[in-house]
Amino acid sequence: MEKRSHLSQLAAERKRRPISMKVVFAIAFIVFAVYAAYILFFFLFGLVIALKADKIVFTVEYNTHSLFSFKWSNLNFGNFISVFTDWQKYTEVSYFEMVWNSIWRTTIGVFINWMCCSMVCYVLVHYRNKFTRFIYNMGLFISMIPLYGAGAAEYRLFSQLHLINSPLILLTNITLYGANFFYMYAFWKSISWEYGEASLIDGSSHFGTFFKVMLPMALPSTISLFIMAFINSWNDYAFTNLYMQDYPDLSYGIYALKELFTYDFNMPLYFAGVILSFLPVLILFVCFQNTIMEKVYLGGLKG
Amino acid sequence: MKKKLLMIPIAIAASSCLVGCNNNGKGGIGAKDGKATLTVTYARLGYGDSWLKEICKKYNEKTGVGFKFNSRIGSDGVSAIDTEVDSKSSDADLIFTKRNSFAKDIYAGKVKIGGTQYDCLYADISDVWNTAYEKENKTIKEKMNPQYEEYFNFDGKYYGVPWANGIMGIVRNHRLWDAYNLTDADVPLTTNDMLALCNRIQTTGDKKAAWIYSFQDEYYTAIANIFTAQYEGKEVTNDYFLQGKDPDGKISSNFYTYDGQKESLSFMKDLIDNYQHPNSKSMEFTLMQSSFLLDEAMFSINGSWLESEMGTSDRYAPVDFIKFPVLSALSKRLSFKNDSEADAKLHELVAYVDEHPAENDVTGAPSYATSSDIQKVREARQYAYLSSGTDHQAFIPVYSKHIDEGKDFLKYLYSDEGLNTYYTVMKGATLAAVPTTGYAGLDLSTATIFRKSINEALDEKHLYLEMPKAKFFSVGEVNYYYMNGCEGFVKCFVNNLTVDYVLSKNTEYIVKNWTSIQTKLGLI
Repeated sequence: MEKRSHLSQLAAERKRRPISMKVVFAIAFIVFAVYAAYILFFFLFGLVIALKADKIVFTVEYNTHSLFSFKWSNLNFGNFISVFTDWQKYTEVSYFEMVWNSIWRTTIGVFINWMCCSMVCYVLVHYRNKFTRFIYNMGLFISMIPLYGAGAAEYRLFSQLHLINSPLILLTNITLYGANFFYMYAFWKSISWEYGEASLIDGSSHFGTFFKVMLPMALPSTISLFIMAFINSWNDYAFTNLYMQDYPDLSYGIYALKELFTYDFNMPLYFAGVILSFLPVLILFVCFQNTIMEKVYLGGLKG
Repeated sequence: MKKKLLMIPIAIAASSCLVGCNNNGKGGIGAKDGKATLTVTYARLGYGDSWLKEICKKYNEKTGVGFKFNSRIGSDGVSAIDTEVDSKSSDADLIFTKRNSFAKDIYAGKVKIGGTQYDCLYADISDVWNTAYEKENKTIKEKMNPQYEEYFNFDGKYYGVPWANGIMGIVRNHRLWDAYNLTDADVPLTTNDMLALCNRIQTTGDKKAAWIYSFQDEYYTAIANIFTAQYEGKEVTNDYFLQGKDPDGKISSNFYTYDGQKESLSFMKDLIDNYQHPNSKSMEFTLMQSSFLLDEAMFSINGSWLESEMGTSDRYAPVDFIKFPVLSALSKRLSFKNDSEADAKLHELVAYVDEHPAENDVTGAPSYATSSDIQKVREARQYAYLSSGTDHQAFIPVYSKHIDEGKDFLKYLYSDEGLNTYYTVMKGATLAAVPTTGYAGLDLSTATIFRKSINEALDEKHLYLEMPKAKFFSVGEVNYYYMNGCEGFVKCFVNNLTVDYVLSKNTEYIVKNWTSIQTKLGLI
């Protein structure tokens, strides 16, 4: 009932719009539709290649510019099944193990980084004194220093701390200055301290104020940073290559598939692997999209 | 309170799941009788790792030494190993990789690690090279291909061994060759022959492309120096390749004034501009390989790894290697340079030298050719293939805790048993050495023509080394492949730039950075 009245409200609003607005909306719709089609095209392209019978068919069709030609006899859904066996053969790890490794490594690592950055920025913004100002200025200074060639030093540090090939390496995400330090700082600045003051006056502790009052309010703004960091971490095969060989994730699996197939490159099989690798993220998004979107709400300051 | 208490066992259960989902311990070989376990870090590339694991398994059965394997896949894996080695805190005892800075690290000399001064980042394994394994009567040095021995020899010391031995060169599609009714007489002996043949292929019959390559990952850059070497001759080439000297025999900023460089680039430009498959610019490398094997072109520059690709489908054409033709411009250095039939005479001389490969053999030589001409052509003909193995190094980090055990393993790797194990597992591919008893255990009569042509090429030892060793390139950081100040000649030619542009850009770079290069070389 609510949905129907909402829809009829929207329809009534649309009728009341002036023509110029309708034109603007129409153009915007076309632009976004074209953009969406452009994005979807690549997925469709990947799917078309993944369904090719074999790499010979792919090579012939590529050279005769007929990749989008559809012959039902040439379709091969078996590539999606072969990926599982080939992945295990080349990487010695099964698809499901890689999915699980991707999930826990990405979630825990990004959560630690995001939470640390949030806590640091919260303190820097709302507990201002000489020390916090010094920490902030140090962050500014560090962000100006270009870091090149730090890979060997970082490897040495992790090696000496016995973190290589250990889940404890995720603790290295505990950092004063994450990649999103300045964004997070700006988000916290936009949240009024009056909420915190009200909470403290009502008898809450500082921890309670942060976790129960301030952090939930920052979520709508900072969740986007979490998502971006999640995507970057999910796709980061270089970290696995260097430090977490014993816990390969999906992005590493795709990389390994491509590299090991260099001398026997089965493109349809490779694309089947690529599609399977983004399925878990797609499922996660479909399951949790409402939860994520519901977190966007207006603030509650009164008076 | 209950919820908080419940979190504890959930956290413990989750942590135990993390421990379960790892790759740890897979593929290792346990040590016996209290022997050491060697940690082997290796790059898993086109050669795979089955040979290494089989050799380690046999060594374990023989000596009880165990192995723990860390494999790093692909080119990023090689970079990861580089980072590991550069960190000077790797726990690897043996490293099998493709390290670009191998020569540079050796030239750099002393290194301090954890408060201890060492002579080099890599353990000195000269005793490995100079000792015969158990009861064998030849040392590794005596078994090794002389060109590889020369590459790995740094003032009489050795710091690594090669772990691959392949060739790169012109691969010919035999099915197309037969379809065009071409015979052995049509195999081009000079570059003018090659261009004429390319023209014929593209204008007659099915009008196939003469050549195919992948612009994103091409090998023309690697082969240009072969033609420079053919033009300049052995002595000058040694100065160029092993010393980084200019045409006057000095280390100077005049490095790009060799006539051979201009002549070879001129040929490459003609080839790239006029005789390539139209999809070459957009094709990814392995798609290009697959297309080549499906008769899209007659020739391609490729390597012995192509065998792995070929084995995956019976629709692929049979292929084999042919020698690089001799640069036609070489006739400008011969006695008949002003003759209008100079190239035809050069063709005849090359054919003669192929029939009479022995040094100083002039029996039945054409009357117009002097002994100097024959010598020059014979030298040029030696540069017939490109070696792809010197850039695959196995070494022991100097800070390893099992240097002696690592050395013993390397001795075993190059023992007759180790060499034959490699040969058997790799189905005919060999390391860069010949066992004292020769290779045995495989019936190569059923080998593909490709494998036979590889083995013939390796037997002839007409190889040109790919990785420059000279300090001028490794320490001075002058790029060996015409990429100083520009993106390489292939990209330049595709963008309609000239040979003179490429050479001038490279010269400009050296002149501009000459002080810095000299400082790196220790000349000032």
